[in-house]
Amino acid sequence: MQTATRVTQRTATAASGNTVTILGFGGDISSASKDIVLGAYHGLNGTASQVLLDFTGVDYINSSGIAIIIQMLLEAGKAGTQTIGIFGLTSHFNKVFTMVGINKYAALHKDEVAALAAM
Amino acid sequence: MSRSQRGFHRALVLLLALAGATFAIQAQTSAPTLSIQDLGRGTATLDGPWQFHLGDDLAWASPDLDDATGYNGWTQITADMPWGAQGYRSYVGYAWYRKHLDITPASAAAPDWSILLGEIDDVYAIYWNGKLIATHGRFPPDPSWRWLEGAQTFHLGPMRKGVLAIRVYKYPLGSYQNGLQGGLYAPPLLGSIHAISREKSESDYFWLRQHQFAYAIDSLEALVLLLSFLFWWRDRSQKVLFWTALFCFAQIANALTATLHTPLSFRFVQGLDDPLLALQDVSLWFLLLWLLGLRNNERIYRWTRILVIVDVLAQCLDGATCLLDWSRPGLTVAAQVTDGLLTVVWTTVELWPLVVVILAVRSRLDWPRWVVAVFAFISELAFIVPIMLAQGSRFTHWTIGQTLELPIFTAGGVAFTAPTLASTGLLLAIIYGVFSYSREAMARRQIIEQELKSAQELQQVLIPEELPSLPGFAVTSGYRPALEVGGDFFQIVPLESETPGSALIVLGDVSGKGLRAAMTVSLIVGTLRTLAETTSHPSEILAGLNRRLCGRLHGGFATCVAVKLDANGSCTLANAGHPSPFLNGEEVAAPGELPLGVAPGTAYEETTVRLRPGDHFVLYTDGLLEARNAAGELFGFDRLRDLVSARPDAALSIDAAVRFGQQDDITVLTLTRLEIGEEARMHMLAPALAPA
Repeated sequence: MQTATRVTQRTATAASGNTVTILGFGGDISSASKDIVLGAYHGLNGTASQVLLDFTGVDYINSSGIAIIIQMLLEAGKAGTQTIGIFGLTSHFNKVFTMVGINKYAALHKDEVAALAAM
Repeated sequence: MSRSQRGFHRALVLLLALAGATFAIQAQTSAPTLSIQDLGRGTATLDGPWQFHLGDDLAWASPDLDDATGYNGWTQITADMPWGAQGYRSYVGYAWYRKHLDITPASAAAPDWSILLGEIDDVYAIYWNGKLIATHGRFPPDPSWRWLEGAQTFHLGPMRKGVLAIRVYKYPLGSYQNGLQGGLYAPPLLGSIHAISREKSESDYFWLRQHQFAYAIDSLEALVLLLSFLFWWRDRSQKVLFWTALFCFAQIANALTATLHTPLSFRFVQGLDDPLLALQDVSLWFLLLWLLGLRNNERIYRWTRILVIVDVLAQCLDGATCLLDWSRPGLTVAAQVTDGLLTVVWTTVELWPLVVVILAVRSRLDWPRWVVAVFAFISELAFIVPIMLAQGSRFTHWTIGQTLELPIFTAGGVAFTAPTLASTGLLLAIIYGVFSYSREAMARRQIIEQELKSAQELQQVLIPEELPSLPGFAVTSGYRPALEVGGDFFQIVPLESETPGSALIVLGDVSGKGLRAAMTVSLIVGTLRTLAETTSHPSEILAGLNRRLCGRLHGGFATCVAVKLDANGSCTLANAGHPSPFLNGEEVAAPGELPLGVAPGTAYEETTVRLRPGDHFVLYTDGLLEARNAAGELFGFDRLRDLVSARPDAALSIDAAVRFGQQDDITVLTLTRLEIGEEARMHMLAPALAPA
């Protein structure tokens, strides 16, 4: 039943006028997604100072998938030069992300418009 | 000039004219007539010279035609070998055979004859004295004839003296044909209906006898196909059985279409033969990777996949080319060149198993693998070398390809060639290799099952077999792992140093499943028990666990909720990324925090609630929350709220999630605060360590 993880990359302009890199995820995120998710993030090479993670196309995230997201946010936190935001979560996963404390490392937004307005 | 000189000149001119006339008469020898006397119960072979003409003209069926040798292009050949072997190499198109017959029936024999024709390339029609008797196949345009036919019989009717004519059409040559084909391969037999019928039966029997060994091998392959498919169906992880089944299927499908007398047309079978051969290649290559222990060699595996794509594409295109009508003007050369180029591609790619075998034997192979390697090498050589050498042989005139396919010996009417022997050896080697591989896999599986059993026993130690009594509470618990060994855990630790009846309840979930998760659980439980000796504060317990787990979970984490429960109903909890407990159908508002093992130094906040008599408190892991149905819907918070509002015990809660679609380990612990004086009850759905 599990579907493969998909990642796309694009840019948008935030309300502040800054360029924001958006990593769009799709499918399921699980332990099998580690390389593709972290690979996409590492592919930014720290050049993007503002990053949004788009979970609109994500069907399911299991505990291992959440561990990968946390790992990514902790890496960004260590670098200290990136601002990361998240949008597109279903209400279920919005609650799960809050539950595991991800909201302390990345702001959770309802949608892309709200996320860009806040960046 | 004198009179005598003039007379000499006249005599000389007359002599030269006579010599020229004699030469001309000698150059146009009349067609011979085959006289058959007393034809009765036996048969007569229509051998000897036949009048022969390249090209096509329906008037050539006429008995009145002057087909004298040397006149109007008529010549003579025999019918015991194709015209390609009698000076007309690589000729394709129409040609006519004519035979003058004079038949005298035996006394009392009815002059009602039939004819038996062996193999003829490719389409033909028979005429007797200009009258069409029968057509076999369809002449151009869009010619068609059956693949691999046996001898054919035709009723000619009463006949005595006249001309038997056979109009033949030979289809353009394939890349593997050496040009020695075309027309009749054996002289026809003429006889009574019964005599010809008898000859036909004998011919069919001889054909069957020649193929009995091939049919025995096909039957063996069918048996192997059935068994390997059934065993693979039962255990899909046994990929080697899948490739074995596919290999046998391709062999049998090829045999059914290419070695049986079927109504399938030549072009259709040729078109189908290439994709079936590709299927055989693919299955054999992957089978070799598994059997020879190379499936984990990424480079070889990647190259195999690339070459599989090339092979399949080339053979499917080659097969599609064969379906076209090569006899159409303008298409013949293009089709032949395409066929030749594609054949060069796939025959080159088919050398890949030789490379695989060479790479395999460089490592240490056991006896069964050696057998597979040797026979795979020999079989591939015996198969591909004749094909490669036959390519373009009508230009090179190489005969070594045909020579390699000549019978080595004959036994019981069966001619054994090198490719036959090699492919039989390969099949037997594969059966032996797969049997050995499966036996080893079974032994390895038994070891793993034993290890899993040990892990289960370990987990039974880690999850309490019986719950300690909690005065003032009715407790139920349930645990359902998704795999043999799960990553959920819970512990109830009585706090001896606190108020009597106090207890520490810790419930959590390690990310991931299986043995690795179970090992992390063992670390957590051991640490928890040690920490509980020095502190009863849930926040300190979680902080202590986090310190010990950081850097040890290899990118994973553990969510956990720790609850200190007092007999008076006071309930203090701290949460490390775990779903909040439900109290009377509502989530307890506890601040979210990172799970254990993620960030050192994480601090956890405590929340206190008071449980009153009748209150229903539920702790659970996310396996309950994230059960997923076939449509991909999550069980979710709303369904969970509805579920716990009905105050089910742990078993009912777990059953609801399992019915919905369990994905992960599920653990549920319910506590119901009792009225004063009511006796404590503990009910445990003992860890059902079998997966859901």
